[in-house]
Amino acid sequence: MSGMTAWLIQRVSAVYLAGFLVYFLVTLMICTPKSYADWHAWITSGVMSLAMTFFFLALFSHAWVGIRDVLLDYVKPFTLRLTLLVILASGLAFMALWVIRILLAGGSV
Amino acid sequence: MRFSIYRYNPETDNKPYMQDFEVVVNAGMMLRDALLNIKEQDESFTFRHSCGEGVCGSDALNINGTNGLACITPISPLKEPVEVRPLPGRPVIRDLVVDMTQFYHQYRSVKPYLIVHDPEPEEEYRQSPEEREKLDGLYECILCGCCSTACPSFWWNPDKFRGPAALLQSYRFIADSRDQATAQRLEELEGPYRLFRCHTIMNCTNVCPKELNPTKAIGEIKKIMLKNNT
Repeated sequence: MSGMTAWLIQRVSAVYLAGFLVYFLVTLMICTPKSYADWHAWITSGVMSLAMTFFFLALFSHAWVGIRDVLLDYVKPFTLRLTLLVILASGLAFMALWVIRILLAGGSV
Repeated sequence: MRFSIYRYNPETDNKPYMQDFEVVVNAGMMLRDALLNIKEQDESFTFRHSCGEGVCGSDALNINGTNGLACITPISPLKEPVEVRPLPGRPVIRDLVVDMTQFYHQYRSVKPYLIVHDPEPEEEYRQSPEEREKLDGLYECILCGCCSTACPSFWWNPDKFRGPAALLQSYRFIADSRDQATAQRLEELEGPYRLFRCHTIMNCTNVCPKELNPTKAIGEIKKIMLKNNT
């Protein structure tokens, strides 16, 4: 990934993460869902589930760029760096798949 | 006043060590004056210096943990003993003298000169006062190396990351209305290392003895790159 693309992904995802988290927490505080059904209805509503999907997309790409930066800075030996990058990528991909499964399951209940 | 000075002579010492000196100070004394006094006490001690007024950039040193020019650093506010070390991250040649080859190599690779493809004007290159103003805060750099050697990204990747000093100069020519190689300059800085190892730590801006702002220049380069890409 080129420097510019990585940097742009990091910036854009950061803005989205900050915005979404503020909205999410403030909403939770102001109109706290009274029951599981309320909570479920809020989370699975069209806009919210889309925003949630974007949140996790932004979270994983932000984590990828950030940790990749740390590895590029500090880990010099090529094989070690490649191994760590592969572990990172598979870890993030695994979590992403898990999240997709949860979101899909949540929507279908 | 007490001074603790980094000493290392690769011909006789196995390891660097700190040596203490006592200097009688007077009002208005700069660190360079104290170092000259120390050199009188021990002639084997060496450090680079030349103009003595913050113009040549020769006596960049690590003073009580912060990079700066010895000739314009007043000693009265310094905490005792004043610890003077060579610029961090650079190979030590002897005592406070370091090898700056890599730093100059990075400087050279940003092509720090005007590149003009059109035929040269008969008389002179014209520039409006507004265009000239854009170079303020960029052209004043004296290449002392305080910024790049204070930058953690430059410590970890001095062979690949251009470093704040070279990037400030790169922007100095990108911002110059007379230069015609902006696209080439930006392309050369692409990739994850040359420009994008900068994590906006801002040590460079903190230590610059000429009060320049390499972090801002790097941000401007990124902005122009973004504009050109979209």
